[in-house]
Formats: sequence, structure tokens, C-alpha cells
Amino acid sequence: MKFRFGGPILLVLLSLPASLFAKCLIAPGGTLEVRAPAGNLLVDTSGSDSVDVEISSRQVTLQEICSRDKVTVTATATSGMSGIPDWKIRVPRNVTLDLSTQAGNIQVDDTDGAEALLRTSGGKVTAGNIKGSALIKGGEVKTGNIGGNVELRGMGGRLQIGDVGGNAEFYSTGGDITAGVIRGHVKAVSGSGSIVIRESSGDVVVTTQEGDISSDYVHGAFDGSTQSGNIRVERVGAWVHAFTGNGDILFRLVPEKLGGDLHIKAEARIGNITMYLPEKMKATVDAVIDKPALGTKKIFSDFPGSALKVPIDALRSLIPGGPEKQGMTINGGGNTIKAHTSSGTIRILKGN
Amino acid sequence: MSCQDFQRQIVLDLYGELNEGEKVGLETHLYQCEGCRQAVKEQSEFSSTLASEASAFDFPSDLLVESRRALADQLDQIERKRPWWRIPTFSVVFTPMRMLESAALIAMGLAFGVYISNQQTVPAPAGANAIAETLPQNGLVSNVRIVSADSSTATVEFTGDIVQPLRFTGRIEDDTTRRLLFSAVQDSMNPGSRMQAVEVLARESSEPSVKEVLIHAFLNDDSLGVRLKAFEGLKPFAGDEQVRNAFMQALMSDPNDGVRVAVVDALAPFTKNEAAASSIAEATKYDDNTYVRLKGQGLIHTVGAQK
Repeated sequence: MKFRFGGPILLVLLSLPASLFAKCLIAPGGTLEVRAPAGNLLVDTSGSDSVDVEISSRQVTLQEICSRDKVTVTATATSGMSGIPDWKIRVPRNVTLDLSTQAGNIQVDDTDGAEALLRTSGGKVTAGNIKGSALIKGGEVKTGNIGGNVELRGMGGRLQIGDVGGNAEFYSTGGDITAGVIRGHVKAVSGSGSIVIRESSGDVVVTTQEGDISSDYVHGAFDGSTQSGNIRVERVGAWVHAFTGNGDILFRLVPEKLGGDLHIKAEARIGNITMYLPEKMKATVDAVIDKPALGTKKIFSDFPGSALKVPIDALRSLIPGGPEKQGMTINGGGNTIKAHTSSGTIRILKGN
Repeated sequence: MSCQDFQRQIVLDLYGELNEGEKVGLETHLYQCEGCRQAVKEQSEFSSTLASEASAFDFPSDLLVESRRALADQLDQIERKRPWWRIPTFSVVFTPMRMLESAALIAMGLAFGVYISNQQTVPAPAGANAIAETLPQNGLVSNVRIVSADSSTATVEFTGDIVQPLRFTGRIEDDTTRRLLFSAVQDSMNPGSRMQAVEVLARESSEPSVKEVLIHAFLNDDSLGVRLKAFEGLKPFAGDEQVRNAFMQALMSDPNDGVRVAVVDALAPFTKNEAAASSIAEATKYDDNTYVRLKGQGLIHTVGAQK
């Protein structure tokens, strides 16, 4: 009699999307390694001394290897797997996270581990504040502040990050890159999208094929390039290289010392160039507009510079429709300033 | 060069007619050739004889006139053989042909001068098709061609293009603003501008004409950035049939994983029935991206479970 009802009940229980569990003790500062064939990894960092994993699907078989310093959780998926299960993971806050899923989103609360490696081949990554360094790859990435160095790689999605305590590298096939205050150097490359670095204590090297580049303050040197978009750096502390195929360039040079390397190379194929320089900066200027507007002067400066000897090819500028060129020395000459646009305006102005 | 060539140069050299290169070449040759050195000696003696004894000769008074006329005739023949595009060499001898060319050049110069002075005084005519009598000071002129140059009236007619800087402020819903934004979306040479325009238009994506432009950009633009911006504008309308169709098309054809991931995520909340879920499952069945494939297949189970 007992078995008459027991069989169907067991069948019903087995057919329900039952959860799978794993639990391992982990030492403070230990490492959690997750390798998921597919799954949304939802990491709650409010745990005390153990790693708890719960999966919302019977289509995977969970395997765990437990030691005090390192816990590894993997799973094998059934062949007909469909849908993406949720992996609910609970860990102590001070654990190093090394999470990887082939398909799924990754969501991590604030973590104090030495490192956070969060990778998904498709899906978003969302993280709170990360105390250590971080390597994050995902379709779209959004994080809070990161204490150490960071490398973010996006595959067709926006990369958004708060402040960074070390150096930062951003790579995106497409999608905007937005970062807060970076205490180190910055390298950012986007296939298609704008790049905004609010502030950087070091040098900034940014490249995008299409999109604007902007920063409030780059304390070091700035090297920015976009094929189509504007470049705007409100304050920059050292040398500047800026190139845009189609757009305007504007920056304000505010070096702490005038004795450093303050050379400038700015080129806007189609667009205007505006630069503000320190009033006492020594510079030798070479400004060229290939196709100036008819009958108007398009190179402006409010520095009392002295004109350089006109090179022979500059005589072409006397021909209507020829290039407009201006060479001058500021404060006796020094740092080279090259500004070049095919059509647009060049302004070299006193900034402070 | 043969000795004969060098000996011709010797005469020219005596009258200072050789350029530096030819002079160096001749001097180098003379260094090696006894015969030519002898020729130099003879020519020098002949010249000095002429110079010293010229005063003793009594030339007919019309010899100089005749010589100049003969020289002019010879130069005219040379001029006629010269291709029209070759610039005449400078010479103090005025042939009829050269005088004609000079007159034509002066006429063109005058015409250009009149044109330059006119452009600063004559006001601009109204109407897009009117012939411009003045040029905007900030215009960039290109593709200029001279249609006609009439030396009798000293006028020249040009055609060409003028590009002027534009600065315009308007509300997004205004016609002119929207026309400019649509024009920017179609600027094939400037993906950065397209991206900005699409981003601005995405704020008004509920408007049917804007939605159409966004759909077109989303499905057809080469720039991933533009497609992603267009997607952001369309995402809230994933339940709308027109947008859903566009998303389905992108799901099957967009080469970027990020776009397909975003699309399948956007479609999921609006997939309420089995037919819709099946079509997504079908579209994603062979997707290279595991996330897209699993998410697409999983929607059938999600819809089934909701029932």
C-alpha cells in the first residue's frame, strides 16, 4: 500500500526543478573557483566561514573540491540542456573570487578579496565595490569602485566602472566606456563607442574608432585618437597627442611644472582645434590648415609670439584656396606644438 | 653626350647661357677630352677677335631689324609646335603669339580682380537656385570650375560647391531639428555623428518616424556603436510588433555577440506565448554564443512553466 503512492510521488519530486547544493568550509583570504558550463552566478558575500552553492536546475551535476584555502565548484551539463540556471553562491566577503561561466550573467556584491576574476562568454557582469584587483570579461560590465589594478573587457556592451585605485585597462568591441577617478595609468580601446575617463593620476592612452573621448582631468600625458568624434580634455598635465578624423579637439594644458615635456601634436582632419596653454610656456608653434574657408583667417592666437621665418612651401598659402600656415615662437620657443586640420579653425589661447 | 654636343655647349658657355648642371658636366668632360679643350681655345680666340675688331666693321643699318624679324618668325614657328598646355619660357623677345597670350593672361587677371572686389560689396541674392554674386566669408569652396571667361567684358563664370559651418539649436521634436538628426543618421562618412544622432533620437523613440529611423539604423548600420545606441532606444518597445520583428531579424543576422545577447534578453520579458517562444528558439538554435542559444531555448520552458 505504501509503495502504491510512493512511486508517483517520487516521480513528481524528480521531475520538479530541484535545487542542488554544495557546502565547503573556507579560510579567510581563501579562493573560490567556479567553472560553470552555463549559469547565472549570483554571489552573495555575506557568508561567514563557508562556501554555499545552490543551483536551480537538475540539468547539471555539481562537483566540488573542498580545501580550507581553495574551494573549486564545477558542474557538467546534460546534453539537452536548455535555459540558464541560477547559481546562488554565498561566500565570506574576504574571499578571492575566480568565477567563470560559459553562458550567463555574473552578479557579485561588495567583496574584500585580494582579487576578483569574473568572466562570462555571454551575459552581463555586475559587481559592487571590489577591494583588490580585478579582471572582468563580459558582454556588458558595470562595477563599483575597485581598489587595485583592473582590466575590463567587453564584447559589445557598455563598460561602466567607478573609481580605481591602480592602473586601468579597458577593451570593448563596441559600447561606451565610462570610468571614474583612476589613480594610475589608463589604457582604453573601443571598437565603437565613446570613452569617458573622469580623472586619471597617470598617463591616459585612449583609442576608439567611432565616438567621443573626454576627461575632466588627466594629470599625466594624454594620447587620444578617434576616427570620428570629438576629443575634449578639460585639464591635462603633460604632453598631448590628439587625433580625430572627424570632430573637434579641445584641451587645456595645466602642467605642475613648465620644465617637463609639454609637446603637443593635435590633428583634426575635419574639425576645429582649440588649445589653452600656460601663459609662460615656451613653445614653437607650427599650425596648418589645408583648406581654409574663403577669405577668412582661421588660425588664431592671443599669445604675443614672434613669427617664424616663412618656409618656401608656405608661399603656397598666398594662393587663394591654398593652405593657411602659421609658425611662431611663444616666450622664446621650446616645446613643439603641431596643430593640423584640413578644414576648420585652430585656436592657440592663453589658459592661465 | 658626344663631343659634338659638348662643343655646342662651349659656345653657350662663352655667353653665360649654361645652367650649373650643364656647366659642371662640360667642365668634367673638358678635363678628360683634349679635342674639346682645343675647341674651347679656338672659340675663345674667335670671340675675343670679334670683340676687339667689331668696331672696325660697318654693319648695314637695317641688319639688326632684319635679324630680329627673322628671329621672331622662327620663335613663332616654335610656339605653334608647342603643345597648348606647355608654359612658354621667359624671353624678352615679343612674338605676336606671346603678346596674345600675355593679353589673355592680363584679361583673366583683371576678371579675377573684379570678381574679388565684387564679392565684398554685392549683397547675397535670395533663393537657393540664384546665381551667387557674393561668397560667404566662412565658406569652404571646392570643385571650382570655370564655365566661361569673357575678356571683352572682363567676366568669369564659375561653378562649384560651398560648405558653410552650421550651428543650430532646436528642440528634438521640432521639424528642422529632426531633419538635421535624420540627416546625421544617414551620414555614411561619419559614424561618430551617426552614433550621437541615434543617441539623441533614442530619447524620442516612441515617435513612429523616429522609431523607423532607429530600426533602420539598428538593422543596417555597419557601426556596432550605432546599432547598440539604436537598440537602447528600441529596447523599451520590444513588445511592439515592428520592433520585435527587427529584434528577431537581428537575432538571426547580427554578427556581434553583444547585440544578440542584448536582443534575446530584451525579448524574454515580452515572450508570453509558445509561438513567440518557439520562433526565438528556432532563431537561436544554432547560435555560436552559448548564452544566446540556451537563453533562446529556455524561453519555451519558461512560457510552459508560466502556464
